[in-house]
Formats: sequence, structure tokens, C-alpha cells
Amino acid sequence: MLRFILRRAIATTILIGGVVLMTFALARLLPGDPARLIAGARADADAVAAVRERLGLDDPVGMQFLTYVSNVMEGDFGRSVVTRRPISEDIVTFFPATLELVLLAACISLVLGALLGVLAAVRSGTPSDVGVRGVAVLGLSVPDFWLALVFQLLFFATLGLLPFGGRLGTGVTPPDFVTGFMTLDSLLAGRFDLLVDALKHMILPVTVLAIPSMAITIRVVRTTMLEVLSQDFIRTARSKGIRPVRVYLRHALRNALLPIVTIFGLNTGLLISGAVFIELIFDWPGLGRYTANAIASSDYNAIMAITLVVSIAYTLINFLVDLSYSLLDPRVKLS
Amino acid sequence: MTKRTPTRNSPQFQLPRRSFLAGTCSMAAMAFAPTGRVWADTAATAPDIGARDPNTLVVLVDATVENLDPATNIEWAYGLRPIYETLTILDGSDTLSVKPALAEAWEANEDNTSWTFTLVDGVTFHDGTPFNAEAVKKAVTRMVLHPAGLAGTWQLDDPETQIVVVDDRTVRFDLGEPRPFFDRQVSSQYGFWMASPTAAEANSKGDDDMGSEFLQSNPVGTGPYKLESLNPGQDATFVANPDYRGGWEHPHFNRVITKTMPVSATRRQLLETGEADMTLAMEPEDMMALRDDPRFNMIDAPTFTVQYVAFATDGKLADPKARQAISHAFDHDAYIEQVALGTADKPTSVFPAQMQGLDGKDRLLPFDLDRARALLEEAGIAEGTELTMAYYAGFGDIEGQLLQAWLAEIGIDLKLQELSFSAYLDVFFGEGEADERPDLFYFSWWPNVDHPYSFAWGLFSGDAATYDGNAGRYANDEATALIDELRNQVMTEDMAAKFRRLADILTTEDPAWLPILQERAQFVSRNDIKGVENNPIYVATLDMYNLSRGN
Repeated sequence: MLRFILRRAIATTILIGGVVLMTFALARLLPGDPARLIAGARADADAVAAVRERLGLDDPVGMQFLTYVSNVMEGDFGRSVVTRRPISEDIVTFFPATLELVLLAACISLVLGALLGVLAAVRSGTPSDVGVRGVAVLGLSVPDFWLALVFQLLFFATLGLLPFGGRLGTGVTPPDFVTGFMTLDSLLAGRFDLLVDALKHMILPVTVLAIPSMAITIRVVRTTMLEVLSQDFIRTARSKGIRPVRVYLRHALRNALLPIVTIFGLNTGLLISGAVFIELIFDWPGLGRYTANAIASSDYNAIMAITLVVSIAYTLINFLVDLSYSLLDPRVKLS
Repeated sequence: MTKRTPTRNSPQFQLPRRSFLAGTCSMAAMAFAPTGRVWADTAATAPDIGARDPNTLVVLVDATVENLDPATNIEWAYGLRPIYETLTILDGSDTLSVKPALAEAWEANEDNTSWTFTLVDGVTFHDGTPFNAEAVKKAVTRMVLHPAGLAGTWQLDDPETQIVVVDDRTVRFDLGEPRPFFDRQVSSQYGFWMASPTAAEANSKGDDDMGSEFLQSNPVGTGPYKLESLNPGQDATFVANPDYRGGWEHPHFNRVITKTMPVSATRRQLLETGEADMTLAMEPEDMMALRDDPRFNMIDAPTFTVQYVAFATDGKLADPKARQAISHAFDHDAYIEQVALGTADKPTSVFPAQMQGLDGKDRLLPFDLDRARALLEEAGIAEGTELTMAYYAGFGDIEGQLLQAWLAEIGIDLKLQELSFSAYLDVFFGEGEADERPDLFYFSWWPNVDHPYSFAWGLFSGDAATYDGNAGRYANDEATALIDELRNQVMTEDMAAKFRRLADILTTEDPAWLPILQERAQFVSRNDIKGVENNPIYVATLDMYNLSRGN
């Protein structure tokens, strides 16, 4: 196990180093002068040059890269030209909002997807199976941004049941920042009114985010379960008179868990990067919306930092998934 | 003809002298109205605001509030106006008269070379430091000396000696030349707000910063509101300054929340459901729906903002005939009616049509492709010549495509070059050689004050640098001389004649620009919001202090 962790840590370091190099190179290759953006549109050539010198942008590229890497190692990603704050501060502010959405959506999609997938597999060929498969196809086919708009139109504009967007109602003072998760921070502050408000605001974005992931999970679980259910040990279990529910959940599902966990890991990673549209539509102040603003404003430092953070998150999730294999299936040896 | 989405000011892509097109939305009939109009029906009940605090105003904008340092913000003054104040302020919607603000009285000497301002007593900045004559001197000096600032707007060569502290409440500006409307110039939204010099000095990171990095997100002014929180790209919250000199006895809002909502339909939904009180920009269909909804009021008024295509005069378009040819190849009537859907005004020259001293004459070269072809031939521009037009994402794309189609009919191959905002600024204000730069640039501009010099110098004077705004490197000796003659002059008949001559040269004879449209300001608010007023010089900002929720 230790050897595996060490090997993965080395590989991850190399991978992240590659990401740093690539994002740095891309930012330097793109047209546009960050010094001009920071100095201001009407700054004269001397002012732009002064900013360039202050930021070390006129150093040789190799030197710039070394400076950047050394700053990143200290958690210093520079300042955002949009928010005019240190980017590390921005990430700490905005990332928890995205994580809160993504983790909830991933968990919901896992649980619902697994249940529906099992249902479709055990009732293969019945109307239930067809119905679940239809849901899965629909969930994968409908673009999430379209679904988001339809949900807003229906549940906010027409029925008035759910808020349009944001994390809390307009003008509501949020709880003190502890974890950055609005639900947890509301609980920690003992503010149940805020917790209810936060949960109401999460329903639509979480649902829209969860649907495509749930659809993928349904399809994977169904296929894997069908495969497992046709194996000899299931027939044996059944012939021993074990109750069907126990057979499905204890024997079959357990043996189908590996691909489900893999899909969960991939889905969570994809949800982080896929949250951009959802955050824009639901006015969700997370990393996705921050990213969109950074891209639109050519905020290269912020784009580089976000790419790095998302890459690390993605790598970490996959690492945890790999680790979980040995826990779920003793036959899997990590070495 | 391609229909465009008239709201083209993507919030993340605002430009200096940005085109706050304010949706460029309204109805065709309104678009040509000479003055502002208000649709109102206070009999209808505005949407229920639910649990929202009635003392909080929620304003929706399509642009992002970011830089709050008045020395370096030249983009959009919306976030500055509640926090900072100027010495004087334009009176209501009048562009030519001012009333007291931080100065309670002022007078000029006989030849208008020296102006003395008496400051309001007992004013403090939000950081508790006193606003006095010394603070004025330091605040103005900072703005003039800041390398990325708006030095030119003050027209002071040596603020240290030209600004004299007479006593604690009296400050004198020795201008070195007659400036008969200096009291109006100091009412401008660009470069004239008073920021705490103490805060700037305490947080300065050097001469190229002068406290700007700090003030950009921690503004310290004397205004009626303080910044409570700022999330650029998302929201900004302003809270009433309890020590404000004007007091809070009148109906007012305790807090103002500004939310950035890029999609017009969303802004409309939030208004209709009572989630918001006002919006500054909308697309035509949303604007029309709300105009006809008695629960809302709409202000629709002209602005001084002109969108234009600047010609690079140091390249293939050096010959005025070539530029005239391109000017003949743009059909303004069709564009305004069928593309802009009547949501903007047809310009009459490179200057805003309502600028003082200008007559009503239409100086645009008429749409005439035959004449354009002949002029191109006279200019020696061969058929098949390739030109490039640069614009930044979301601003100028449709206009570029139209021009491309019309120019193709006269044998010009127009390449469109869409750039990121920073790349565009590099090209527009940059010092590159002529053959490295585009031939045409899409942009917009408005003046600091209602005076042609304020609009013209940086854009058209042969003495102005590229970074002053003269992207086309335009230099016409007669135009430069006329601009110089107009400097700080009262608009007498003689001066008005010179101004009109200048407009003729810049638009018709030796075109510097192809003006495309003149923007209109359009605000929609719930009908229980009182005190909404627009001055065409104060582009897309709000006098939040005088807004309130009525019954």
C-alpha cells in the first residue's frame, strides 16, 4: 500500500508539474499584455513598462517560470485583475461553493443512479427497465444548460416555488465563513433559517448537475449488474434460498461496485469543471463563475491557478478511487 | 439582413469609455425622441418583494463593478458615484449647469485663470480623516501624477504649485490659462472624485501604484454610501454612511445591492418576481414588455456615447478619399432600423448630436456604393485590397460583418479580427508600427463634459498619442488647430462655427471615424421606486442618495 501511495505521489507530482508548465506556456503564448490590463487602458507606455517590471514580466521566460513555480509552492498565485485580490484568497472563497454543489450532486447521482440501475437490471426487459433506461437516455441527451433554464422558468418564474439562484436570498447576511459550505456554516452558526434558505437555493442547481451523472451511473450499474447477475455464484445464492433483495444488494451489487466507484470518481471530477454553466445560470458564486469571468477578462493568473487547482482535485479524487478498490475488493492488490 | 442582439455589452468585456449600451434597447419610435421619456403608471401595484428588506435597493446590471479607485477607473463610474463626491455636480439632467457638492461656493478671477472653492464644513472621509483644502490638494495631485491615471482631465502641469491651500476650507486652483467653465469640468465622473489621500498614502506600493491597488477594492470617499462588500463579476453592496453631510432625514435606502446579471431575460424575470427593483440594461423584447407593464417605470434618454469605427490613417487608408469611400459604404438607415431595431440613434457626425454648439446638420456621407467605388479608384486602392478590422469579443462583430458585406460589393476584402479584451487594448492603445496594426478599430467614446474639446482632443488631435485614444493616429493640421482653438472656450457663435467646421472635417472631408450609432440610456424600475434621474453626461450611473421606495 505504502509503495503504491509513494508511486502515485511521484506520478501525481510529475503530472501537476506538467500542468503548471502547460498552463504557464499557454498563458504566455496567448495574445494580450497582462501589464496593460493591470496598468489600465489609458496608461502610457512608461506606466505599462513599470507594471511589467514590477511583476517581472520583462524577465526571461525561464526566470518567469521559476518565479511562478516558487510562488505557487508558497500558495501565491498572484493577484486577479478582475477581483484585484490575491487569487489564493479568491479560490478559498469560491471553491467551497462549487464543492458544496458538486459533492451533493455527486452523492445524489450515485445513490439514485445505483438504485435505479439495480432496479433496471433485476427487472430487465420489463416496463420498469424500459422506463429507467428512458430516464437515463433523456438525462444524457438533454443539455444541462437547457434543463437549467427550463427549471428556472418552471419552478421560479411560473410556480414561484424555488428561488432563481444565488446561495441565499437577496440581501440576506450569510453566516460567518468557517468551511465555506453555506449549509454547514449555517448549522455551525445555529441559524436554521439560513440552512433552510441555503437548501432551497441548492435544489435546482444540484438537480440539474446531478441528472447527467445519475444517467451515466444508471447505465453503468445496469450493465455491470446484468453481467454479475448471470454469474454462477448468484445462481448458487439463489438456489440456497437467500432472499432476492439480499442477493441483489449483498452479493450482486457488491461485486458490481468497482466500475460504480470509478464512475463516481470521474463524475465528480467532471462536475467540478462542468459547473461553469450551471453557476452562471443560477448566479452561483463559485469557482465556475469565477472561471468564466477570468476567461472573459483574460485574467491569466487566475486561469492558470484554477486549472492547477482543478487538476489537483481531479487527481486527488482518482487517487482516492484507486485506493478504495482494495477496500471494496480484497482481490485487488494496489502494488 | 442579419438581426442582431442589440445588447452587446457583455459584462466581462467592458471597455474604457465603455459602451454601456444600456441594452441599446427600446422601441423604434422612442429611439428618435430628442429628449428623455418616462413611462409610468403609479396606479398599478409593483410585484411583491416578499421577505426582502424594503430599505434595501436591488439593482441589476449587465456589467461588472470592479475598479473603485477614481484615479484609475475610466471604464464605468457606477460604483464610484455612491462612494465619492466631486466639488460640484451637474444639476439634474442639465449638462451645462452645476450645483454645490463638496464645494459650497466658488468664484473665478476676472480672466478665469484662477478659481477659488469654499469647501463644505465638517465633511470627513469614510476613514474618519477630514476633508479639507489640504486633502483636496493631495487627492487631485495624486490623480494628476498617477501614471495610469487621468492626468489630462485636470489640465494641470504642476499641481504642487497650481493648487494653493488658502485656509482649511478654501482651495485655489491657479490654472495658468483662462478656463471659464472649470466649475463644470470638476463635476465630471472621470478623474474628479475626491478619494482619501490618507488611505492612498498609507497603502501605496510605490510611485506607479500610489495606493491604487488598495483603493480599487477598498474605496474611501466622502459620499453617501460606503462599500460593504465587493465581488467583481457578481455583486457589490453599498451601505448608507451614517455621517454623511446631507443627513438621512429624507426617504432613502439603507443599503444598495448591485447584482451582475449577464442575461437580459433573467433581469426581467427578477424584476417581475419582485426579486429586484431596477435594471440598467435590457434587450428590446424585454424592455418593450416591461414598458407596457404598468408595474414598472422606464426612462429612455439620449446619451453622449458614440460607437464608431476608427480609421488607421497611417496605413492603407492614409488618403482621405479611401476613408470617404468606406464611409459611403455603410447604410446607417438600414442598420439603425433593421439591425439595431431602432434602439439607438443615428449619429449626425463623429460628435454626439446634442453636444452644445453643434447644429442639426447630418454630416454622414450617404450610402452610395457607386460613389464609394469611384473614390477608391481615385485613392489608388486596387480591387481586392485586403483591410483588417479589429474588435473585442461581443462588441463590433455584427457591425463588422455588415461593413464586410458592403465593402465586398466595392471590391474590398475586409478581414475581421476578434480579440480578447486585453489583446484589443494592446492593439488599440499600443505603439505598434502601422503595418502591424489593423486598418479599422471598433470602439465607443463619451466626453467628460458637454464640450467638444473634452471629446475631441485625445481622439483627433495630431498632438494626441495613441494611448490618449487616437488609435487611428489621425493628424489633420486644420482639425488640430481648431481643437486647440476650442480648448477651454465658451461656446460663443464664433466657437460654435469652428466646432461645426471641425465636425465637417472629421466626418466628411478627412474622415477620422465612421460613426456607427449614438447610444441611449434606458433604466427600468418598479413603479414604487422614486427619484430616478438621468444626466446624459453621467453615463449609466445612479444618484442612489435620492432614490427611495414610495408607497
